[in-house]
Amino acid sequence: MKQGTHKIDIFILIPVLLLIFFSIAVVYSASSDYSLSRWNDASYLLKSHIFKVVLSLVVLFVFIKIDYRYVEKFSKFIIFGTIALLIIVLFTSSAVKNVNRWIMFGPMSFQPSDLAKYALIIYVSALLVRKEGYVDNLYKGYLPILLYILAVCGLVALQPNFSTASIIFGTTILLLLTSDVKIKHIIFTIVSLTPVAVLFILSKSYIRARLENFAEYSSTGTAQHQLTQAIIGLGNGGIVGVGSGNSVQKEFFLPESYGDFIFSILGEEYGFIGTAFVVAMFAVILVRGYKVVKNVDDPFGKYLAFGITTIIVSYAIVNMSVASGIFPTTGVPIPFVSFGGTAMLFNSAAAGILINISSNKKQSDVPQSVIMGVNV
Amino acid sequence: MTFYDFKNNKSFLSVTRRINYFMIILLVFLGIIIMKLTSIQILDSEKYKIIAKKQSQTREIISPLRGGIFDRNMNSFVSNVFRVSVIADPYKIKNPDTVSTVMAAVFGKSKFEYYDKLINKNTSAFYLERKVEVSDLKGLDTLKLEGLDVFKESSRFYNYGSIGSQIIGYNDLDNKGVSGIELALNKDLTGKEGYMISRKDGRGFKRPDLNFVQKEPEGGANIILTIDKRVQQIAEEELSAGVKSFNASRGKALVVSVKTGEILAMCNYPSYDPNNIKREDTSGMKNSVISDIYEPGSTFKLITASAILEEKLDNPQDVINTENGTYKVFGMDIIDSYPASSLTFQQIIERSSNIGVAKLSQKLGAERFFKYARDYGFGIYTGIELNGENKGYLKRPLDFTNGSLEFMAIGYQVAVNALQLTMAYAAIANNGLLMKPYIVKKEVTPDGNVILENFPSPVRQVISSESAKKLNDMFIGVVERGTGTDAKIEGLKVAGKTGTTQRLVEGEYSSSSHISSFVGYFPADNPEIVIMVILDDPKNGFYGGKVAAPVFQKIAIRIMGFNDVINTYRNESIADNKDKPVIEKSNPDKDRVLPNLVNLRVKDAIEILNERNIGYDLDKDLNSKELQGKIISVDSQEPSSGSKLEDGKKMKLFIKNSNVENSSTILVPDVRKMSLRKSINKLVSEGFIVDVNGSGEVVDMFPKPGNKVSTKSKVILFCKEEN
Repeated sequence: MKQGTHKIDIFILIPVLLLIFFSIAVVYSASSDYSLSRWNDASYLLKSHIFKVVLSLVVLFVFIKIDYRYVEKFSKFIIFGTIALLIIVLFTSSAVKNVNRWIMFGPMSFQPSDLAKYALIIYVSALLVRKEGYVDNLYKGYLPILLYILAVCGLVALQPNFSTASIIFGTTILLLLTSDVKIKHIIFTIVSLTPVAVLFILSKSYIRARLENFAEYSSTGTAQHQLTQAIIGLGNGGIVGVGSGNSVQKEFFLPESYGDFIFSILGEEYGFIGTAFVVAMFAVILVRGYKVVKNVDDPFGKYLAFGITTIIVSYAIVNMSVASGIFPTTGVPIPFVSFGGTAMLFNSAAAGILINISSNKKQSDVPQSVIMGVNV
Repeated sequence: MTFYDFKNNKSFLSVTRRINYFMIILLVFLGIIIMKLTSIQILDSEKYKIIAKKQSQTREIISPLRGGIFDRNMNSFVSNVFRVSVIADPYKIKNPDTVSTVMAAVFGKSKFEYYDKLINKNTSAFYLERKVEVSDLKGLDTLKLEGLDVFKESSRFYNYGSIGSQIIGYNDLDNKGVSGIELALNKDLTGKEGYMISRKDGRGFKRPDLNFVQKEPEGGANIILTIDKRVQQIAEEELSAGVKSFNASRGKALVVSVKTGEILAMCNYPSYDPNNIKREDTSGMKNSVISDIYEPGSTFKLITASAILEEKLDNPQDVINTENGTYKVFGMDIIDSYPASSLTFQQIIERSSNIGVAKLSQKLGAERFFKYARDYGFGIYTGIELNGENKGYLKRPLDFTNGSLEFMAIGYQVAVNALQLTMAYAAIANNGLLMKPYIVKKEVTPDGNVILENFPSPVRQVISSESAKKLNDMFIGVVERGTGTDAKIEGLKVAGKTGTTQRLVEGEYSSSSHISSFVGYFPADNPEIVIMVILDDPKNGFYGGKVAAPVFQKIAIRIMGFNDVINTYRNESIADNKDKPVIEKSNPDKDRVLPNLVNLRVKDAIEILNERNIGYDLDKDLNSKELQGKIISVDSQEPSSGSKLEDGKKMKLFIKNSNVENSSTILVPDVRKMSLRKSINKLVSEGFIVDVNGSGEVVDMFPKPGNKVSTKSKVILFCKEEN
């Protein structure tokens, strides 16, 4: 088929690339001491990261080139595959810190929830398109969609990964709000799920502890070790930072400094300039991503672009908020920057899809039927 | 108008406007983050910078090497050795089981001893081991275990063991002086600390921060004593032999250079081994010579004698009625051991007549008696550099009661320390000039600057040299024909005075418990050396002349040969005497205490012996084919550690080849970087028991590869955690 225009939105591509390249420097800095002590090789984790960066860049450009509408074709396969993986991971995976989040996939550890967030967004987008005209119907339209949302979010929450489940749930709810789904249904859903969520939180001591810690930090300023160290790191950076590779906090003061708390090391080495830059990059992705949403005529592209943009930015907001003490501690990586197993791959694929959608914005001249014909 | 029209879903905000609102909400979140970052990174940055610096930088003290302590011939009493200390922080130790297994393997104690301490998370960091001599750390110092700090600390080894131990003293675990010279000159011995700024990581591991120059420590000063180690050793040996043969409870001996006041030897029996401090038995640690006082008895008669001579109250023709042995003074009996009806002044001193001296003292009166006693230095500190001197007790004339004068004249109702008394006799030997005693000759910094040097210093002329000469003649008479004949040495003119004091036992003077003393000097014509010997509570005999004088004589005979050092004048006649005591030129190292070399690798053992200049023989040829390439260690040694090597003899080392003789020991293979499964297979097949920490690839192990352990030993693997 012929694409409407080949002009992609480089203002999405560039921030993504900048963040990815930035991550190499920061991951190396944050992981070198740990790698050296663990594997006697300062670049052990960096090598693993670079391998994933290269793979991610390939994936990013492949998805920029592939017409995003193929994704819709596979959406059913993807969602059922994801649900299957989420079930498998609950029973078989090697538990890291008593949490069943990982599946070993050759040399790579694979976190199905990284796939799940996009699988759900893709499938809900596809469903919203397919059920266009009757999504406001509770039984035929809304409930089937909700079923998938609850299945995926529920399985993720059971790992347990409550924060990821919450972000996925929130994003898909926002996605539904951009469709013709009745707000009444959504409000009813949220109201009835709230007690379930509260019960879930109460049943999980680790979530309770984190909330209590955060409450204590908010009121007294004394935080648990990791958050204290994260904030010390940010503060130590000052405006211009201590310079690349000079972080003090990475030297085992800040646990898992190369993972979920990498933002703190970034802030320490590159200062406020560095952190503000990262915030700005996500702001650009947000604004340009939503611009794509508005400019694309194809409803599937619209939903998909909205979902992808929202979830990427939400992850970034949650991660940065945790590292700076705005949110309670939760293990959510910052897209494109954190050292991560498969998260970077899926985020890059999603960014590729988003950029591909951006190149299809002027499509009013393409007959809708042709597009639908390709995709049905 | 309602906010939301349920009937007409689409009338509520167009989708585009909803998206705009969502965008604004997310932008607000990003804005909040920027605000918070502004607060942390710009407004409060200084505060966090200080916290970060505090937790990541430490100023580490570099201890200076403690100064040495030498005798006057530069024989070194002390060595600095390094011992191993381990500090544990139970809070940071993740696996107490592993750590205690490792500790048990290195220090040879029970694992549970450590385990019980380590599981108590409530304590802060503490010493798990302190200054332990470990021959083989088995790689513990390179094994980075979180919460465990292994380091070497300097501590003292006393080269001559108990010889001079009360003078030298010893140090506490922090290498600070507790007694003796180590205490008295602790500040000078310590030197100045250096420091370096270290970077500390979150686990507590430190490394030098190259941004800062480290300040080198300044080593402590070397102390050179007036002590002659050979004299010290002889005096100790003879004192000890004397105490044993007369069955005394304690003994003291002091050798001082008459003309200079230098202390050549200062001994107490019992003694102690500073390399093996037993806290429960401190009896041997006291330097009684200066810190214990006693009633001097007849040796104190020199006060009366000096005063009579100096005040010219004597008349050689005068004869004093000595009352046939018993004389009542204010209702108290003064009794002579050798009753006589009358004696001359000279005879009174030679026979040590209590009655005669008491009567002479009456001629003097309290004021003059006190003046001479004070002038000789009694009741005043001698000023010796060591801590803990007891200045004794000299009653003032105002406090004299009936009989005080007479009893003080014969050495009761007065308390002195042995050094005071020795110095008083040295003054007579030195033509009436009292010298200040000293034990520190010099203090020299490691780079050779003399920071202190003591020279002979006179205190006062107590009596004229004429009076001293007359007194000297009397003291010669004591040894020639009086109470001190057992101190006589053939060919050497000796002068001296005996003393026998009844000890105060439960407030009464005992007739069965005595303090026997003899103080003498030689050569009497031109005295060089004064020696004092005191035996407490001897059971075989009690007269000073019978108990202490023979010890004096033995010491004197043995040290006469050291004229190279002491300038001892020897009578010409004795030079040809075939029977003269033969004193070998001593090899400073010949009698050093032998170290324990058992189980050390032969290479290390040889190094230690070479350092200490100890000759050795090996029972096998190291280059023989049998031993080539094998790890060999010392199986046993002769003589055993702690004993002394006789001159000219060599130490004999028996070598064992661990490989051959002990076939059950095996080399720990290197399984690092192997997968866990593979490494376990390898270790188990070679007969090890494996203890695993973590689950991934093996990143470290204990014992380290290359160490030799017995089969069925436990090998602990540290694996990477998967996260």
